[in-house]
Amino acid sequence: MNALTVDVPPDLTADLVPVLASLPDDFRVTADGERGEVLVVDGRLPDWPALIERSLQTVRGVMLRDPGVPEVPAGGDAVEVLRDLATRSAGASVPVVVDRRWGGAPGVASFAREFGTPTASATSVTVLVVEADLSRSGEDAAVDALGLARAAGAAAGRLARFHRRRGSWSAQGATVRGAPLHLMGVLSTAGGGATFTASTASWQTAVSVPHPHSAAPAVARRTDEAGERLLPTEFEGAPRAAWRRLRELLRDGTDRATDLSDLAEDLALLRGAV
Amino acid sequence: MSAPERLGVGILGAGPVTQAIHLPTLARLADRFRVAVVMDVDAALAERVAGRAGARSTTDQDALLADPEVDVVLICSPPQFHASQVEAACAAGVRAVLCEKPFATSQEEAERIARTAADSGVPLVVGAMHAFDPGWLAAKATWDETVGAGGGAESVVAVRSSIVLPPNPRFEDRATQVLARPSHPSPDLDDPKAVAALTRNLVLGLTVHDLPLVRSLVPRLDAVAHAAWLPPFGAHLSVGAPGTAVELLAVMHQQWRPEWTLQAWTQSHALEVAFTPSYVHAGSATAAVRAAGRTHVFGPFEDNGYVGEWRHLHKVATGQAVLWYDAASVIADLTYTLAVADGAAGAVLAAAAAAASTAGRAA
Repeated sequence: MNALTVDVPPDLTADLVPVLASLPDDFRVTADGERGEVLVVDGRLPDWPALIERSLQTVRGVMLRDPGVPEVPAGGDAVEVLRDLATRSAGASVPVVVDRRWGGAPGVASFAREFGTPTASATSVTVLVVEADLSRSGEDAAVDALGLARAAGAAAGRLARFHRRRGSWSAQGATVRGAPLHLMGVLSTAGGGATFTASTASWQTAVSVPHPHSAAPAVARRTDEAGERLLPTEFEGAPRAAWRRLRELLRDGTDRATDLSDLAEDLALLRGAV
Repeated sequence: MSAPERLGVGILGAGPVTQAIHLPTLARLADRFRVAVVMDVDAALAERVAGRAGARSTTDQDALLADPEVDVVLICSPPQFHASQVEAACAAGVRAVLCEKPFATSQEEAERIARTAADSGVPLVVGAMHAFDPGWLAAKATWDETVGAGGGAESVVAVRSSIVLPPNPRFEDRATQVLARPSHPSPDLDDPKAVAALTRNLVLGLTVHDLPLVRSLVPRLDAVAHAAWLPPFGAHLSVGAPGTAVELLAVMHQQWRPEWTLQAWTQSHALEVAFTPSYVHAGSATAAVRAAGRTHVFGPFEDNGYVGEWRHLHKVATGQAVLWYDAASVIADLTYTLAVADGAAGAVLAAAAAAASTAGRAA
């Protein structure tokens, strides 16, 4: 399979070209004027669902970068827009991979694989997110936090409360397995990073994901009566892992990306909270 | 330079806090303090603890307070006795009082103590050791200069206090050879009232350590919006505050990673403080004030907060300094703490009632 061509929007060039350059057998940035086989969509644009929808008949795959909650016409429902888009992309056999800020880090996938899904007996599941990009809304950052919980193996099943403030937010609920879930987010340029922690009566696991601009890897650990175990370091960020996954989806063609529907369900939970 | 005046200390209560925290600290400050008398209702315990410090023992509080060798009084009894003992020490006219936190268990007690302290002129230091920790003090000074003190130029948008510690004996047994640990009854965790009472005690016993610091960052709190009990002894609280998210985690657990941190954020700065566990006699907290692209690190310094509070008490008692935290300040701290404690207990009961209601409807 030859390298797929990717049309990178000018605003994302600085971020994406180094990532794509690290996968030279798989992707090639298009020359000027050339239409790419893979569409890159900046999720910060308010109409990003429409951009994807318009391209479903002309591209082989879509990379959605850092999605925020899209704007929809008055009377519309962003959750339904996302669900509908997920259905349409699946129908067109065009995988849409979402490069989510924290949950996409490979260290999180390893964490979920090695340390398992927190059970209902977990006494506490917490997510702390510090978002350095002040252009992201509290709702965007909260959806990112739910994405981290999902990727870490503790998807939210219920949110009872979502309290937004100007520079921070908090939410409480439960995971799909019934463990208490606490989310907290901060918008501050002083740093950036996210930590997921699951605790039970006899052990605690945690994975910390650095800011996407940091070269630092995620740190995943489990603490119990025997001491502490640290997972092997993976020096790869979420963007490169997302591109590798898109390549696998396009190469294999059997698996379907659930990224968009996951995003829709995380947003639905948030919108359903008081 | 003349040697510092050496003050005699009278200690009310000879339990693990006295044994593992204050006696080792006073031993480090032997040029400034000597333990004169130790009082406990358990005569044998008082005698053994006093013997370790070369002091006399008694079971009579009044005798201790009247003892001419007692210049300052340390109150390490159970919290329900703190208020009356502070009042008695002030009435006895000692030169200063150090009372373990909380120095009262109700607002009425606190205000009564404030009046007594004001009338007597006896300085009262509350043993909120982190408020005296050199690492915290250095970082907070820079934080205040940078972003403005509480309610200042740049709003604090979030604060998170996380206290995760193994049970005290793991540290006590490295600080001393503990005599006579108090026993704790096993509560019925199926009883919401018992859990609410435990939650209140947890706030007054563990969360309380950092609440004066939290108050300096977020002067006003609203209601406790959410409280979740974490067995075997812990709670996660989400507290409303105008424009600020405040999360308070306090847990004693054998198998979780020990962590004692305080974090605060503004839109452009972050403050991070990592404290050593209670009972550890080794250096201060380490702290950092961060902004985009730069970090200012503080500590560790040689002294910890225990040494800090005793050094400060010595200076106040010998007329070299005025109280850093005056009566109004410590009462405000207590009011803040009681609001969190009562609010947390109320939130636990409300959650239990809501769960029972949901279960009833389902049935």
